[in-house]
Amino acid sequence: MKLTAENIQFIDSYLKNSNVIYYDIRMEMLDHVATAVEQKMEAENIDFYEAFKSYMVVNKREILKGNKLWPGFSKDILLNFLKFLLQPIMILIGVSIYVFYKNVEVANYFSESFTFKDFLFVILISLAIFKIVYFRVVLKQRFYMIEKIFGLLNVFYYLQMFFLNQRNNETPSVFTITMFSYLLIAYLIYFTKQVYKFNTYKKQFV
Amino acid sequence: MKNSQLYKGSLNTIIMKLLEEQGRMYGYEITQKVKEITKGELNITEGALYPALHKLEADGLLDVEVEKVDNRLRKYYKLTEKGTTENVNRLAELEEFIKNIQTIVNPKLSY
Repeated sequence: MKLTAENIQFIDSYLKNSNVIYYDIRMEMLDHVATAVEQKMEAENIDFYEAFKSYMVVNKREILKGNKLWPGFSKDILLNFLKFLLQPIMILIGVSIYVFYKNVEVANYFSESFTFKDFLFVILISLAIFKIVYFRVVLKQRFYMIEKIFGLLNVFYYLQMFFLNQRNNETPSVFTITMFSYLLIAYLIYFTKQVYKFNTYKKQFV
Repeated sequence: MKNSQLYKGSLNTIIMKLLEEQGRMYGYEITQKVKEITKGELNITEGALYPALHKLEADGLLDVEVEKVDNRLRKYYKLTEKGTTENVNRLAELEEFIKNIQTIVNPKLSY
């Protein structure tokens, strides 16, 4: 027995009310529950609400285990990003950045009131602002697949606090600024690649 | 099977093996297929299945297709090229493991 559009809407609202905020996660859960309820209706010859209720009583906890409330910190993404950093082309970029900083005194291009350290910080903050605009204004729906990538920005933020502390007046070493420039550039490339992949994925949802 | 700890380490291999045989499958279908093959002995829970599928997808071993089916969207999974190669390795590994366990559990039957 196939569920009607109203039935589907009912399950969707139920999941939304259970705090399943990410559209991609909810869509998959919805299909799982709907298929199970359809089979239950057929096997036990009961109506939608009865089948839905008895299915959820038993399975709700297990189903909602797949829910994510915030992107937070994903170990998989971090490992994936580290693997990406170790690709030969990326290492080449890293080495080029190092050679560049070794030969060019970048601090000369910045003033005392706006140091190179501040510049890196501004880039980091801009990326965070871009993230909010992209999610809230451009996408409208929340997708876990893309939001989890931004967990990396939190890691960079803490690294920055540790290595490029604004209260510390010492000029950072060439190695430190290379590391940060490398991380930010790699992140931009990684992020662009992921957004490209995500866009093909998102198109399927329409 | 009551002790789900026993199959947890092989879950990814089970999923990949099924996908190799069936071409493409969606989440609910995988749980039902496993139940059917093992005559209800093995029950893959939703809480274990979906994280495993998402991890395999993030690792580039699975590809995703979304289709509209009966008023809703359905996410199908299938092996990527990398996944197909990896599947062969993992199956060999699992077979080796089963053989070793058999030797330990029932030494007389082993060779």
